[in-house]
Amino acid sequence: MNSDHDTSARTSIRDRILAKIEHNEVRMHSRTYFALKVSGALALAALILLITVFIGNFVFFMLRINGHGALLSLGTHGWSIFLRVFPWWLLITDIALAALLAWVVRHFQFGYRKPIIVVFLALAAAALAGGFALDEGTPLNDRLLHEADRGALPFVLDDFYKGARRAPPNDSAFRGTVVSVQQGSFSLADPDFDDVRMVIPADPSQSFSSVFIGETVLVIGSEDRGVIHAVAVHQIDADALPPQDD
Amino acid sequence: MQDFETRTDEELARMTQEGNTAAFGTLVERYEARLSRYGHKFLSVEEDIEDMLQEIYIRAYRNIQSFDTKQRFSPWIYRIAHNTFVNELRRKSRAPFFTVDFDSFLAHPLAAEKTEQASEDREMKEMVEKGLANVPPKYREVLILFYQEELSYQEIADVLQVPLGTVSVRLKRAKEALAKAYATMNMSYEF
Repeated sequence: MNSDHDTSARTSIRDRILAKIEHNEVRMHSRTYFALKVSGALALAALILLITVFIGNFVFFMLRINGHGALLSLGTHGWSIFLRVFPWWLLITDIALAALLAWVVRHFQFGYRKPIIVVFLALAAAALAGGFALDEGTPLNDRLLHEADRGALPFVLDDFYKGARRAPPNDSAFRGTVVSVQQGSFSLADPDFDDVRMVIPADPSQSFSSVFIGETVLVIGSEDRGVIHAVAVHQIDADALPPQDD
Repeated sequence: MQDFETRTDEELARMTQEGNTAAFGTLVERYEARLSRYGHKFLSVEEDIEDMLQEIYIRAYRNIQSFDTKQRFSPWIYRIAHNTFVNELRRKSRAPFFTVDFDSFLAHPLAAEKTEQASEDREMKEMVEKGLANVPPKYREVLILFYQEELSYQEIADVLQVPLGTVSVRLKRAKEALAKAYATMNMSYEF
């Protein structure tokens, strides 16, 4: 009895489905539809990956162009300045994009077969490694920076590259061009303050042995009545300074 | 009149892809009881389950061209069923359902047991059925797929879209939950 009921219900569902198919109320998607869907998802994943790598690359570029990487070799004082000048918002955006990418790839078989934390960490590491390689191994960023200086970049990229140069915190680091070298001191033309200041070693027993006129430098130290007492001086890329107006 | 009964699920799916709707009708019949039983673990109202079954088959037909006939058909349709039932539960409860699955965040080692042997044990199936109602929903599903639907670890991983290790750890916890359920029913069983 129960079996008869089951059979009629089964037939009923099958018949209903087949009737819908027959009356074209339900149509199967073509293979092309699925191919396009997979291609679209892959393209989206590739786009997010590219943006993630690019942002990672930009973080490394900012550290390089501003000479902030050198701060890490200056002990606790250097680290504390580094943590203040690091572009955290870019790193957070990059991590968020890596998380979004991990979510996108979980829709593919190769994505969900690994724990999501592994997928996320692998993508974040790949983005940062790719970003580092892009900055160190290609002239892309330097070219784009020059294009931005000429005002030749589109809106978002223009903002990005024009914002790449960051003035260091003025209580502990200074940047500029060496305009003269004297015995035991040198003069620094600081575009952030539009003035020239004297730099002397914080420790009088030390001297500046490798500072030359025309170099762009990052000086770590403190200022007292217009004189910078330097703990360390690092040569940085000349592009770290914004172009001067004629 | 074509003889569909001797055809495998995958052959019927291929025939459906080629435009044979009667072959799809046979698949509908073949899976109805199993999917209905599976649906009972998510929903309790018979009419809801029947509506959901219809929805599952419609989705399956629409998406049949995405099915790779070199793979097994049952995990594919169970994946559709899982999504359909979970979506319905979400809609009904208006609350997140299985949204954060910490088991799938980290890697877990696979349990060293023979999956085929375990799932063939009829007595075990009956015991699982008895304790199922007292097991949390998260673990209930993996028990059903493993013991009653006889899917392998990999197939369950594909249905739930979680790593293999997650299936292993979830099944282990499901067995522990079953043991607790038996204890409250003054029963015991060794898995």
